Amino acid sequence: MEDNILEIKNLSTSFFTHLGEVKAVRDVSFSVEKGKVLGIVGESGSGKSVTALSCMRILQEPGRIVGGEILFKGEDLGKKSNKEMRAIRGNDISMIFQNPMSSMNAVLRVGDQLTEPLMEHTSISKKDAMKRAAELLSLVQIPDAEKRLRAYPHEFSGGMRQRAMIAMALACDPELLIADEPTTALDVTTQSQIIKLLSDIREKLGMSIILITHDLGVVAEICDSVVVMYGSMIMEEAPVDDIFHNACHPYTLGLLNSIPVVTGDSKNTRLEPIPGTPPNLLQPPPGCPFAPRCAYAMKVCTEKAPQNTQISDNHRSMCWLLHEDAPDNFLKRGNPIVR
Amino acid sequence: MSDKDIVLQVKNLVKYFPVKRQSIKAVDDVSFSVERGTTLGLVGESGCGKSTTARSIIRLYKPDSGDILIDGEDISGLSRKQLLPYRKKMQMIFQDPYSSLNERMTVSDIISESLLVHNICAPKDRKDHVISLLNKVGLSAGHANRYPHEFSGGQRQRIGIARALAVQPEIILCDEPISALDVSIQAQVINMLEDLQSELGLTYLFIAHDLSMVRHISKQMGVMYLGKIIELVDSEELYKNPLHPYSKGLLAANPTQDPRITKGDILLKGDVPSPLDVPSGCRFRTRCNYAKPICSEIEPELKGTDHQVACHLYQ
Ligand SMILES: Nc1ncnc2c1ncn2[C@@H]1O[C@H](COP(=O)(O)OP(=O)(O)O)[C@@H](O)[C@H]1O
Ligand SMILES: Nc1ncnc2c1ncn2[C@@H]1O[C@H](COP(=O)(O)OP(=O)(O)O)[C@@H](O)[C@H]1O
Ligand code: SF4
Ligand SMILES: [Mg+2]
Ligand SMILES: [Mg+2]
Repeated sequence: MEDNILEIKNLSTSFFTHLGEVKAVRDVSFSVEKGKVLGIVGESGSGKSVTALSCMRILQEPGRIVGGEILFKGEDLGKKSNKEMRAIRGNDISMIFQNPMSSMNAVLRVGDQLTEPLMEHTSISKKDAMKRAAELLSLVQIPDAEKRLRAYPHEFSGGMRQRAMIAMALACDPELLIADEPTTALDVTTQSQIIKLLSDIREKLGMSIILITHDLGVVAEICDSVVVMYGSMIMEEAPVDDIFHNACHPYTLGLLNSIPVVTGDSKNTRLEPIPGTPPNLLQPPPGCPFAPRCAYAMKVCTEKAPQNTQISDNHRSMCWLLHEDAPDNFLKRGNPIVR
Repeated sequence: MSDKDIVLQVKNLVKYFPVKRQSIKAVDDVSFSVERGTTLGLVGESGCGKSTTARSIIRLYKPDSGDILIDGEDISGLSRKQLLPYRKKMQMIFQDPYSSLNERMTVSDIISESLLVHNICAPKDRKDHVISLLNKVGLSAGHANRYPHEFSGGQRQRIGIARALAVQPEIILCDEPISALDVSIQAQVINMLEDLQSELGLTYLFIAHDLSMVRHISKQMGVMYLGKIIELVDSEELYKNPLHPYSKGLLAANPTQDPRITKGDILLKGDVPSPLDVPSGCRFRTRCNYAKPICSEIEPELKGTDHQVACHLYQ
């Protein structure tokens, strides 16, 4: 589709370790609309980062994409040479990570780190690059930008470092920004500043964002649509409002019931945790990865991977309860656990 | 106050850390009390002194000054040996379920260690006691002889809680016990802590950066900023009617968990100033939209009876 900047089709990625094949991403498909924010939410180990690294084609050994297509503006990134991919990573797609310190060079001034990608990917002079770097720092609302160019990363607070990382990612005006847990290590106050910054920048520059997080609160604040991952598979995909108010997958509902309500009286309501622990991806359960923890699991759930059920145009759920052959249709029952 | 059963009382607690001829005022004159069987939550941005408060109470750090009263007895000046009986009354659980358990010991040894130190049960009963503790935290006898690396983060946190429960404490200081856990597992641990509280009458000091979780579990909440408690009040009241501009900003920054609620605009700008260079007067004034001249001159005191706040707007 014209309106999608990125389309992932049936992506599968595995790590071939000495213990066996770790199926980190299984048959994942989703698309990112131009100018929109797509959230990927899920618990640790569910395959969020590996999905992003696969899109960027920066997987580390022994990881390998074993199937599927990654269409960026209609072109399959899987077919690009390494050289072409380097150009795409510099110009069109960029990525920021959870820990800014690990992706910044501790002994290089912030200004030099900002100008480096500019000078590598364009034929800009050092002087103009510095000017652009100062603009970028002001764009991410770092005060005294020009002066700060001479600072080293350790002289910045955690929030400022994350801002500088975002500035670096924006250096070449990417069309797609992939942000992997950009606020996870930060205080809520800094987190809300960074979320505001990302949504301002998105508006200003019109780019698209994939935001990876384990925090439903972050999803509610900034995302337009959401992909919920569990056990290396997509469980549910929907516009953000549907995820919070019309969730149709037991795992999504379980996540929502695990967090305290923010409005009203939170005291007398008991949290409803999801029992058990996430699956081991070396030996994932044969059927639905969520089956061992699912209160609604049926026999078929433990045997066969659930199929996609389209709830509406842009809302789908992977769950046997919704299948037309299921004994007592979940949706027809009026979605008993929706809160 | 006299009709309340106060199990833990902290009065004017001070703990500074010396660095390069200066000092970090990590905890600077903190006072509060916790009623038996209830939870006091401590919130605030990182570096505000929450952990240092807890660590000073349990005497992992020696306080510079101030009183720490357990059941009315001041333990702040006691020696290591004199402290032993109070160690039994008070236990701590930590954020990192990975580094807080000794990898070389079995679960059973980890839990029985404090039984030995405090001479709590006869050697022949020890095994049964360990198993009953494991059952209390949702683990089974089969787990007793395994090693920590065989467990997930949530299970390790349960082991940490079983270890804390072993000596039948009255008070448990919980320093970010759920922060390292996945969302679905956090709720398991919170429910377990709530159940144990009502079953055993435990008192908690609960530190976390997830404000809605702290509110959920706490009766009272204290908001800390640069070593001070700046607001101390019933947790529902804090949510309905926060007074201190910092509390307002902190609450506004907390995600709403609902895309239909658009957030208000009270964005807390900038970062917490360096604890080596604490602003004069009110410590929050450099980030406060309401600061008046008096705010840079005089430090506001924590005042009020039920709803305590340290801010010149209310004095
Ligand atoms: N280098 C690697 N070697 C082996 N397994 C890996 C490697 N990197 C990731 N994995 C596995 O892939 C799965 C998905 O990981 P990841 O995408 O990082 O999860 P998330 O980002 O959702 O927390 C996990 O089970 C993880 O153990
Ligand atoms: N052992 C220590 N030595 C020196 N400074 C410390 C030590 N522990 C904490 N601090 C400092 O004391 C302040 C309060 O820290 P802490 O109590 O850990 O805050 P919080 O738990 O609220 O994040 C911080 O500035 C921190 O850097
Ligand atoms: S497919 Fe079965 S096990 Fe999986 S979520 Fe649906 S009901 Fe539960
Ligand atoms: Mg990740
Ligand atoms: Mg701490």
